[in-house]
Amino acid sequence: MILKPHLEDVKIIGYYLGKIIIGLGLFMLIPIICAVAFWEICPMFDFLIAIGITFFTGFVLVRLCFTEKDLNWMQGMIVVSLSWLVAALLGAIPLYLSGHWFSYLDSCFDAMSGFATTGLSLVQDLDHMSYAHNLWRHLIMFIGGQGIVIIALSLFVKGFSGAFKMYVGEARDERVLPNIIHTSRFIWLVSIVYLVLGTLALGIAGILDGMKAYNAFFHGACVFMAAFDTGGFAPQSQNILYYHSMAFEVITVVIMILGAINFKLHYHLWTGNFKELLLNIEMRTFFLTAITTFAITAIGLTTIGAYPDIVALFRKGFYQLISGHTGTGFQTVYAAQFMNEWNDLALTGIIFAMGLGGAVCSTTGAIKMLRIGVIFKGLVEDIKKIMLPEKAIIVEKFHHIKNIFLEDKQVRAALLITLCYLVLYAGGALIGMFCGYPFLQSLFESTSAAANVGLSCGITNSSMPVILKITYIIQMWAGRLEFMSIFTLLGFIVAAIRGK
Amino acid sequence: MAKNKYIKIILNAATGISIEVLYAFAIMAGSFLICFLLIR
Repeated sequence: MILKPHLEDVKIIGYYLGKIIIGLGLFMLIPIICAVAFWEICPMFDFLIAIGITFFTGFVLVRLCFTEKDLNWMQGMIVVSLSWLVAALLGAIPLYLSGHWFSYLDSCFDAMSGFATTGLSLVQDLDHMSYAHNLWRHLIMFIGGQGIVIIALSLFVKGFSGAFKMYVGEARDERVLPNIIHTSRFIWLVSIVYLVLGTLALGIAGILDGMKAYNAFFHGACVFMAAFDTGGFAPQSQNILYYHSMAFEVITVVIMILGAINFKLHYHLWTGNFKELLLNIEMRTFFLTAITTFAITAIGLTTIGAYPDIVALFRKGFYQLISGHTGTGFQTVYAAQFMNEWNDLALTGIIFAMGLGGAVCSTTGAIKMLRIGVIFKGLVEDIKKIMLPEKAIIVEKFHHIKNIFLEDKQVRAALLITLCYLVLYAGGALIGMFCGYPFLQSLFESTSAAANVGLSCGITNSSMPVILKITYIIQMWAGRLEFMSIFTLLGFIVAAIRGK
Repeated sequence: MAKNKYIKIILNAATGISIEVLYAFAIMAGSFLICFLLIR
């Protein structure tokens, strides 16, 4: 028997959702400051309208649903899944008002792509977009990468227990510090330190490449936010290819890899536990999978002679590979080149890399390295069981901050989420084929959306079928939240309809 | 004493950042080696 949810459940969910919406509204003040600085009047009004609607929605929810009760697990999960949907709907308002998107659905697509740190885009005439709107595109990526809930935890939520439940719902099941609110603040500290260093490095590279100082640092900040939060938006329509700069490419590769590292590992490395980098299962797995998938891509590209010299192969092949593996989605080749100049083997290497992703508790999407490592260890344990005598006791362990003995439940959990991702990749590919696109192209784009990568081989554009736009929005949302909070939301809806 | 403590925290963080950047360069070096082996 399914129990019907109480009105109290709805009130608690509404109250915390309202607080998160108010937090989102506060972030809209940043592009307004930018609009004033660059004296962009129309964009300023776009954001004033959006802030008005956002604050109104947030305050109405907080006022109507006021409660002092803390969240339980179910409510925490539902708040998270709804907050990402509502953030995409509200965050899309200033984008739609800018006139750079053909429809509100298109702007919602880009807003979800930003919040989910994907990077697929349906924008029109990006090269003539205002600074304020362009900053907002990158800011939503930064907000999404940090975690909408992380922001709320840092600013508004005082209760420990409810905070932790929302934190877990946002697919960050690891606490860096014992207190979850301190964890959120540490995540911000790492991001702000790297924001300053990364913007400086990219800004200087831009100036050396001939950009004006204010433009170089604006681009530097935008590109940093998109790289560190493994997003993939860029201020220009040609993406990173616009800069034609090896320095820019090397710096962004470093930032993308830093963004794919577990925040818990950042904490241990920053506090003197340096050997953790060499021992950690995620870092070892990432190193091996990056090299292996690149070898697949490089062999594919070499067989057809796509890039005849070493530097070109490295700059084009490795850049797209690491961009895919870290879930960023920066491109230094045009979408059409993937289909016309790359062969199936090279694309398969990129698809594998996209599907694997970076570390857990980082800003990346996809299956993630810890799960791959745990599944591999589970496989090794099973092979040992077959090879060794029946009475032999086999104990497999892995290192993730500390030595952990492998248990069946860890392997089961890793396999379940991996299976969900594989179904999501395949489901999107099937719908792509249903819309008339070839298999490999559909799988590439579907994996890119579901793994929150953002590399595109050309399917994603404003003229693609509406069903595919909605499919990719759902894939980006589900892939970012790692299913559990979405399954809880679906269960809640079913219980509200059919419960007794 | 407090000053020394802060210097130690900053030094540890700087070393941590350097190690992370080195890790990224190690992946790049490994991949460049693959390029070198394939196009010789």
